Amino acid sequence: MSSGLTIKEKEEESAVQIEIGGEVDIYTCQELKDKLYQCVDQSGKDLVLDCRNLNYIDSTGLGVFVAVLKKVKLIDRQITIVNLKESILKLFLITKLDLLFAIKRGEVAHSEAK
Amino acid sequence: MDGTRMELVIPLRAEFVSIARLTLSGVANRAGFDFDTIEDIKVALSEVCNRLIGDAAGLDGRRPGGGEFGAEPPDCKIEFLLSKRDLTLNFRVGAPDGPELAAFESDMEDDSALGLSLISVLMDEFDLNPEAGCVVSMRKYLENE
Repeated sequence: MSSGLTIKEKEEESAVQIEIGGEVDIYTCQELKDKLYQCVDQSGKDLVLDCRNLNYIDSTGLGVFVAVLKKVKLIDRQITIVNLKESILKLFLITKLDLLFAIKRGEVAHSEAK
Repeated sequence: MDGTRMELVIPLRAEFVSIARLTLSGVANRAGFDFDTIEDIKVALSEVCNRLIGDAAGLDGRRPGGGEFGAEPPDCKIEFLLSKRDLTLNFRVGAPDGPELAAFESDMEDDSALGLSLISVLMDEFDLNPEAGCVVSMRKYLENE
């Protein structure tokens, strides 16, 4: 069965850009967690999560974001989330996770995201 | 559209939750909900499924009181009730030939608490154990009613 999740990674000078697409749910969240943990371990850089193609996320996916944020904080780095769709931004606001993450509103190009 | 009833039965496994969401999209679109509201209901439906999957896995093949689910996960039956005023989703869980899952516990922690808070905000009504055999019921009203 297709996972419905796509992850594209691009390492830049000061951060790793990760474009997350498709759906993050109970079936795909472990794949996302493994990939993001790997990025943190291998690069040691800030993460920029570009969610322009992320169509769906629920609490399992939000839980992965929080777990990765904890891991990133341990090495004194940060996560920036860009290009969230309104329906997904709403979930961050309801759960107050917008207070934990740096979220850039509006269209953010790759070069501006750091 | 008043009084229309549909039912979806899926194995209570992670890979089938997306199928439930797809079905819900069609049903809610037919009911006349807008795109953003359909997205909200999809999240609420998934949160219930996530919890039920966790419950079934946590029971390790057994339910409190001794009944067995066996090697296969139980089925989840999702009932869609459409009216002119609202869409109601009822969830029932049971092994094909066995007892139903005991309950959707309200003493949730961590991710489950996150899921419960999302359901509470995204849906207009949300009942745990509303009636015998039904573990969760939730409702969304059409805005123009």
